[in-house]
Amino acid sequence: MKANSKFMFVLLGLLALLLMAAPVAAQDDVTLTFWFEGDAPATVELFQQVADAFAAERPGVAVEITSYGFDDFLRVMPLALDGGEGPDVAYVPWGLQALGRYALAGHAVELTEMAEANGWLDRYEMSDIRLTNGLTPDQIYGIPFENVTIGVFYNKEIFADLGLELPASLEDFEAIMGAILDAGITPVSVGGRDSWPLAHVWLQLVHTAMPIEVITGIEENDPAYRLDTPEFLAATEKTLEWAQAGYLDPNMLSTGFVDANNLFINGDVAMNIGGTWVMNDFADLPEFAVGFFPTPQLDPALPWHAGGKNPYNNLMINSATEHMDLAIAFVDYMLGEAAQTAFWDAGHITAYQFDEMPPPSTPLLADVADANSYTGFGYNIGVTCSALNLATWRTLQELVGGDISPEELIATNQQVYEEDCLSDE
Amino acid sequence: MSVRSLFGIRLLLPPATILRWPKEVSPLIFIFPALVVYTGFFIYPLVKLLELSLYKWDGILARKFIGLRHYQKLLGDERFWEALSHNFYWMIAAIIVPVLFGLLLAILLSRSSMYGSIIFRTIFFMPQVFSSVTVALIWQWIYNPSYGAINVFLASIGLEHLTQGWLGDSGLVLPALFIAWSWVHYGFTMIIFIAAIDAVDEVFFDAAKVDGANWWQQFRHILLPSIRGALTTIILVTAISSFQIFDLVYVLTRGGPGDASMVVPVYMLESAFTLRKVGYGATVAIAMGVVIVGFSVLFLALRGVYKDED
Repeated sequence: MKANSKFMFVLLGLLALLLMAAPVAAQDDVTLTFWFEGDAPATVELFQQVADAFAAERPGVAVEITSYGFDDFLRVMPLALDGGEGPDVAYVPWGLQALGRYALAGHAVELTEMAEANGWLDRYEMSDIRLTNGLTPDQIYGIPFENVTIGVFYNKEIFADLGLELPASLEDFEAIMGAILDAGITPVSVGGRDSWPLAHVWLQLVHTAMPIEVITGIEENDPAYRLDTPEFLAATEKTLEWAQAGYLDPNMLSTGFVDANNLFINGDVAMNIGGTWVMNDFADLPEFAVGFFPTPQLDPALPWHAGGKNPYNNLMINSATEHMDLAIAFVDYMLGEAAQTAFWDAGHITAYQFDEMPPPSTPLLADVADANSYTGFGYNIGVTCSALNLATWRTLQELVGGDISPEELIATNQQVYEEDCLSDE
Repeated sequence: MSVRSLFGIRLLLPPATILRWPKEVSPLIFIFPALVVYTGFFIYPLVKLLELSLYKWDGILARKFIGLRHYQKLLGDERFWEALSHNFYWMIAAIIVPVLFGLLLAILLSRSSMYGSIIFRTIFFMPQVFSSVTVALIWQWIYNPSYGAINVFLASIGLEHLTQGWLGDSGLVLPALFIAWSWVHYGFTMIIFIAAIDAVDEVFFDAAKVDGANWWQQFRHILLPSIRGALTTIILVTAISSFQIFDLVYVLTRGGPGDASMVVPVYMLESAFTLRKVGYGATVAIAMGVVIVGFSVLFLALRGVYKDED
């Protein structure tokens, strides 16, 4: 009994020591939390690498990263912010679908003065990116540092075998798709079951059919612009024409995004119209060389901006953070040369102004960088209005499925634009 | 005061007379813990849901009280009604296909002297233990237009012209999803029916055979009345779960192509979280709840009528 008492005494003593030691250890360590949108393994690995490098320079500091897919991020982040939680720093989609809304709700720290004091904006060439994120032009709540480009990835082997040259016009492009189809190969894979990849095909045609001001105006929910114009109709008719001609994978509505990419990677199709976020997979996985070119203009009189360079996500600081200085330091580090070099090397198209541009890490990145050198910013309709996005995705599936006409598609989109994007009701 | 021991710990308790509650109070004391849990996890969220449906809210900016406008909008929302019609289609098909198939299998595995019936019970029940996302991924592979099992099989037997994009055809997608769901659900109905059939005393069947009853008469007059309780439960559970169908549709099609496979739970998620119309999403949820409760009450009432007739 006595031995038992002694044992209990020692055990309780050790427990008390542990309990006292824990807060002491915690006082020394600070964990910065960082959430980002993007769940590709390579992206997660890259952010982890950058976060670790930041932490390595600061003893006692750790950075805990959390990645989310696009849809999950848009669901989880508002709930976390609304509950007074969420990460210290986040890399969030721009526009009123995310950052703009968080800023309006007071969850994003205004970075205007910080950006100027730290020279963040001077480091980038994206002067025409609207850092305001749907707010007044003088206020900055998020800093983007990379862009994405949507265009055409192509199988260089198939092009060489069929003696095809890169297209200089939309007619050339259609001739190429026709030649590929005649050779018994599906010209373009589209993950239409997931709907948004199909929207990218349509958006390429939309963006090449009208001036950038129209796209920007719709993005800003300007009632002066409409979605049922002849230009929208022409782009929609062209999408349907491509689908009916067999240029787009006939099974696209039952093929998901990943499967469509795999069809391209496996060499079963000749091209994939998509964004540069798949560039690393396309550079590494196929057993053939992959190239990239911007989608040719539907209206050849317009300057090149098709899919152009779209600003990607923005770094924001949570106004509820308890580690403001560290959060600012982390943003500064992310926007610095060391981190940006890591992003460039990993195939991200950073807009950082290097004194001497590092060589592209893959031939495909070189192709994309080349395309970016002569195309302007293109933006993306629907970034600021989720209802329009969803309506477009839905009606495009119905269009290529033969359930509605191009006229019905643009009429539905205009109706959704008026009822959900322009109206406060 | 009395002294009692619990796990070796001596407890000092008040005299037993003090613990004697009035007869009417005792049930309330016993249901109180459950009532607290029920209130906290059901009544309170339900009240909050009702409250949310009266507000316009994007989940992050300030709420705006709009009264019953969401309910007014719901009545004229064609997408909601289309989604609800798909749920009704699903419910009717669900009451027929997996219930009949489960009953047939249960009869075969319980009433016949089939060798290895335990193994077959296990095999047939197996899909029920898979998570719904696993089931969705299995069927995503089966329906894949390029390398899916169905199209590969059809092509291998020379029926290439019958290959389809099963989930991409607006006329086929709902039946295709329903087949995937039934593949899981019949295991549940089968196991309940087996339990019910096993509980029927063999003496009734022996007596019927002596009286010259054939298999149909045995089924109609002995088996069916004996398992009516199980049948009621299965129909009710199946109908309710067919209104709640979500994960399979969400993973495989998200309601597409277009709205060809849209069901109310997916529409609710889209409204509340993707479109950030939290109040409207709450309204859709309440409407779905009303439909489910309404169906359940109606069904049970009908069953009560039949019971009275007996």
